[in-house]
Amino acid sequence: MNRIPKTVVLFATIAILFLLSPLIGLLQRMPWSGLADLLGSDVVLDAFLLSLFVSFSAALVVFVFGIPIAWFLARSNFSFMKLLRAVVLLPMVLPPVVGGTALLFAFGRQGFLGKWLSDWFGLTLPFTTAGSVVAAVFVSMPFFVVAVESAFRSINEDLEKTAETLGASSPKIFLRITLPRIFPSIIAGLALSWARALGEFGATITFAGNMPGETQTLPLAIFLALETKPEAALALSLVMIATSLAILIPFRDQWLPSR
Amino acid sequence: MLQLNGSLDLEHFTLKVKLQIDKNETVSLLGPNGSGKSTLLRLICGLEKLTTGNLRINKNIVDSENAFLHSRFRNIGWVPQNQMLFDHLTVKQNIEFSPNSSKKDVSELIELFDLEHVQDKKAGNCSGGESQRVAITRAIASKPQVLLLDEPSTGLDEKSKQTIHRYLKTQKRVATLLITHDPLEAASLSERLIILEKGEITQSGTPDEVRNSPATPYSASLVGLNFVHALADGLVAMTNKGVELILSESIQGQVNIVIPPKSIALYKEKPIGSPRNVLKAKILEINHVGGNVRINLDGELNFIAEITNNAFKVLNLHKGDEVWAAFKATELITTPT
Repeated sequence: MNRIPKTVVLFATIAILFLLSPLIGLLQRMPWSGLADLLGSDVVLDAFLLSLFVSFSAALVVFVFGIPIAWFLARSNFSFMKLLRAVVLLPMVLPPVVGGTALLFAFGRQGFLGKWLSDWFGLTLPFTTAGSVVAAVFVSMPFFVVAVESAFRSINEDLEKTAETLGASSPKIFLRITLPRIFPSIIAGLALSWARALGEFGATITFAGNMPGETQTLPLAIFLALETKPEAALALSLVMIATSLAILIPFRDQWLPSR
Repeated sequence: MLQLNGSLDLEHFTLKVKLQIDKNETVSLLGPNGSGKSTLLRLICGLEKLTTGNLRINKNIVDSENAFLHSRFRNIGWVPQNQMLFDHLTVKQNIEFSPNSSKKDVSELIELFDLEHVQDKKAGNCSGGESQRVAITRAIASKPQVLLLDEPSTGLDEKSKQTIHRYLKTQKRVATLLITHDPLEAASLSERLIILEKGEITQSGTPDEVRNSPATPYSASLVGLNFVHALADGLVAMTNKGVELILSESIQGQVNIVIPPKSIALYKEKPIGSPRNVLKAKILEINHVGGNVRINLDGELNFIAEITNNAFKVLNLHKGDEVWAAFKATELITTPT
């Protein structure tokens, strides 16, 4: 095993303690005795199930559309590429509340897309569960795209070209050559973007509102409970932390590109 | 059969090639690094498009101004320089990857290339020699009409090299183009050599033809000969550096002159009274090759002299010494250009 320099260990320890401290604070104040009642309440259960639904739906959408975007960004080479990449990554740095506002202007009843969706399909997104999913997709997509794009880039294109000269079809090349090579990054990227979707707050509350059972996901429920019933907020936080760890430990770490 | 007559614009020069390789024929492609050899293979594969001209495989145009057949449908076995194995698949899965491969051929080839013991190993865990054999086997299993090999034996162990050479010598069914830096390999495996320099074919011929009358300094260096370009006027030729060489036969105009290294004698003092070419030079490098010593000389001309070990000891030569090099006019090989 490599020896890690002492200074590195020191700084890493400080950083880890810093990251752990809020968690310790939370656990310290946790109303352990009344936890069972708090967790058993309808509000908590609804928020938990809704959060799972929204985050996994978002992850599915991100998966389906993220791979083509990543492919395109990694392999295309036209003059506006840099701008396009910046646009795709924008939600990563944008305050989520700005994202939610922008979504509202686009998909709201008076928005250019929202009006069209409503007139043609009778579809309304703002303040619906579907709206929560849209908000979650918007903020979490870049995390997936970044991971998968770099995986596409790390493949030597001659590998796929060699497969071409052997007479293999494009779907066969993608499934047998490209996909196995980007698979670890797909899983790692999915775990990251799912986690981002689970924790999504700003864009959701702006665009989808905070309606119990419909758009009130765990973070929104925590925010509301904090003002009225702090111990409930603590219990909800515990649920979020447990859910996140349950997904992140097996997926994100398992599939980190190996050394 | 492969017929190419066309050009491709590259960053620093234009690749301009006219060549034909018949079915059953192996042609070796030699040239300095960066002369466009690998690009020529990519062009034939369909990974690059011709700027002008056309490319035919078995009489069918696959690349021209208004036609381009995708590499998938060209039926070409390409073995790129870094093999490009599918590391995550096993050796056997690599070899049977092509939809054109048949189970019977695959198992025969695995045996022929001595890969039975590694066939279930992940290709990424293979040694250099195994990888190269897998890459060639994979290409052959796709039943190509043209086989393109990019330095197949560079850096390989002797056994793998022999296995590959044995195959290329005996199984002559497809038009094969082989890039190599080894003139011996080229001569033993192919009927014809093509020398590519800065995108242009500077010489093409049988190994004997190239050996006997190299057309450029590069061709000459391949076979270990000295090469000079000069302007002849009767029995005297003047090189572009202004050195006069005496010829044995009268000739006029531009000539290529080959000076065999073994025809050069070295002296510490200027030899007098002999009707020979005598040039002053400084010793740049000394290499012992078998029983002889090859000495790189720099002076009025840059050339290599090859003398016996005994002569080398008697003369007591060292790097940096000034010497006189002498060679008879009759030893020079002069060809008009």
